[in-house]
Amino acid sequence: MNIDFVPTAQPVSRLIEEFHKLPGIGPKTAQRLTYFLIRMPQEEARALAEAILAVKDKIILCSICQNITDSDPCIICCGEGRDRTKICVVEEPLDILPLERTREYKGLYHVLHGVISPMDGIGPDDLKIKELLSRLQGGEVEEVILATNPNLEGEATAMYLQRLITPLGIKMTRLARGLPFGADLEYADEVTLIRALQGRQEV
Amino acid sequence: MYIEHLSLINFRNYERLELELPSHLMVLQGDNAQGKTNLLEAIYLLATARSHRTATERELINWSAPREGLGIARLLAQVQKRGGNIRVEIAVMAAYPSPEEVATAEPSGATHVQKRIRINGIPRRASDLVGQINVVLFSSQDIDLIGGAPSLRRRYLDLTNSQVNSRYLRALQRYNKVLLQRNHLLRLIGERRAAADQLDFWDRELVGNGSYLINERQLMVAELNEFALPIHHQLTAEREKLGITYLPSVSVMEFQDRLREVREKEVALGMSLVGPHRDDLAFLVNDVDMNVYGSRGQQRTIALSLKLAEARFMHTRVDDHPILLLDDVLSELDAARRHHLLGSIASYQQLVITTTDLDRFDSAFLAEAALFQVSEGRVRPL
Repeated sequence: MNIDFVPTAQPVSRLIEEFHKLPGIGPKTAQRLTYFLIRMPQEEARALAEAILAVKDKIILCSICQNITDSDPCIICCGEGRDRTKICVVEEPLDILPLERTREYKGLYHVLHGVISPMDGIGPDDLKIKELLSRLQGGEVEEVILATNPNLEGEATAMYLQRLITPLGIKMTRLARGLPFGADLEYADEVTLIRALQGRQEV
Repeated sequence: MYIEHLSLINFRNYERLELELPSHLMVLQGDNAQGKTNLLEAIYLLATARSHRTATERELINWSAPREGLGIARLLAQVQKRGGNIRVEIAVMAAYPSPEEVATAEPSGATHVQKRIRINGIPRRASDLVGQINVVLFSSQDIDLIGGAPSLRRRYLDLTNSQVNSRYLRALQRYNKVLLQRNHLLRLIGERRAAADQLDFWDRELVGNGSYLINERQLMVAELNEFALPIHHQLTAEREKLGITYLPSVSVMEFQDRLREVREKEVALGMSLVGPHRDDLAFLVNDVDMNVYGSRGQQRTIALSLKLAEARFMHTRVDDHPILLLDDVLSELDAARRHHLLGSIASYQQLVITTTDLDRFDSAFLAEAALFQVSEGRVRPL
C-alpha cells in the first residue's frame, strides 16, 4: 500500500506524513489519526496543537540533573525531603518515571541522555558526564547508583563511570539483576538465573 | 527424537503439504527439482532457524501461490522427544519496511524477511528455538568444510555447538556484538576521535565471552576427534588415521596479553585481530593437512566421517537421538562406503534420505524403509 498515490487533499496527506514520522506509527495508523483529527472539534484540535508547541517551547533541560523540565532547577532537584546524598544515574528522562513510581527512592537523579556506543559514534563526551562529575565535587554526595540498562552498551557506560568516580572515594552501587517479582523459576532463562545466582543474598 | 508430522504452506515449491513421517527410515525418491531438498531444508530450518542453502530468505516463500497468505511461508513440526513432545512453528514473511528504509531504499528491491517463531504456541526468539530439534545434515557441500575457507569451519563449530548448548549461542551473539562495537571503537581511536582507555570494557567482554567460546570449541573438537578416528579408520579400510585439530587464534591463557601486544596494529587497521573469530580447524590424515593436500575423494570421506562423528557427539551431549538428514549423498560414494554409511546410521531414531535412484540401496535396507515419491511439490507413499 502506498499512501502517496491516494488522491487526498494536500493538508490531509501532509498531516499523514507528519504522523508517519513518529515512532511506532505506520501508514495505516497515521491515516486513522488524521481522519480522527478531522472530525475533532476545533477547540480540541487547537489545544492539541498548542500542547505540542508548548512542549517544544517551554521544555528545557534542568541545569543540575539534565532531566527535562519547565522550571530550572527541576522539581526533583528543588524538592524538599529529597535525600541529597544519593544520585541515581539513568540513560534517558523516561527512566526516571518508573523509579519515581516506586516511591521508595528519595534521592536525586542524573540523566546521561544516551549510552556509550562506538557503532553509533557515541562516546563519553557526547553524554552528560562532565555535568555529573561537577555535581560530585561539593562533597555532599555519598552514593552514586548506576541504573543504566543491563545490556552491553549500558554496562560499558556503567564501567566507564565507575572508573571515573571510584578515585573520588564515593560509594558506587549498581541496580541488582535477577528474577522479576512474581515470576516462576521454571520460566526464567538461564542468563537471568545465572545473574540471580551470582547476586543472591543472605536471608 | 523424531518428527511425526510436518506441515508446509507456501514454502518453496510446496503450496501445501501435510505429511506424517515414520520414525526410523524414510526414503524420498524423485527426479531433480521436484522438492526433495526443499523438504530437508524445511526440517533444517525448523531446527536451526536458518536455511543451509540460502542467505536470501525471500526465496523460501512461494510467491506464485494464488491464494490468501501470499508472501508468507509457514512451517510446522510436531516432534516426539525425550522429556516431552513439542510443536515448533515458523512463519517467514516479507517484512513491512520502516519509513527510513523506504526513504533510503535501494532500487534492487532487497526485501527484508521476518521470521516469527512459536514453540508450543508461545512466541520465542530464534535463540530459544535452536537446540529444540537436533539435526545432522549430510549434503554434498560438506566437502567444503575440509577444502574450503576457514569461515565455513567456524560456522560449523558454531552451529553444532549451538545445537547442544544454548549458553554457547548466547555467548556467541554477545561476542559478535562486542566485536562490532570494538571494531568501530578501534577506528574512532585511529581517527583520534576516542581515547584508547575506552577499550578496557570491550577488551574485558571480548576476553570473557571469547574464552568461553574457545573452551567449548576445544571440548567439542576433542570429542569429535575421538568419535571420528575409528569411523574414518573403518571407512578407509584401515589405511587412514584421521586427526581433527582445533586451531584457536589465541589461547585462553594468553588472550589478554596478546590483545595488549597487537593493540597498536589493531588501531592502525581498525579491526580486532585475535579471538575466536579468527579460529580454524585442521583435518590431518597420517599427519598431512587435508585442506591443502587432500584429494577430492579423501576430502569427501573425511566429510562423511566428520558428519557421522557429529551425530555421535550430539547423541551423547543431548542424551537423545538427533534426526539425520541425508541429501543425495549416496550417489557420490562407492558401494563399500555406501554400505558402511547405511550400516552405521541405521540405529538412529529417524533418518530422512533423498535419492534420485532407489538402486543405490540394497534390498534389505529398502525393506525396512518407508518409501515416498516426491514430484512437483507433492509427496506420496510408494
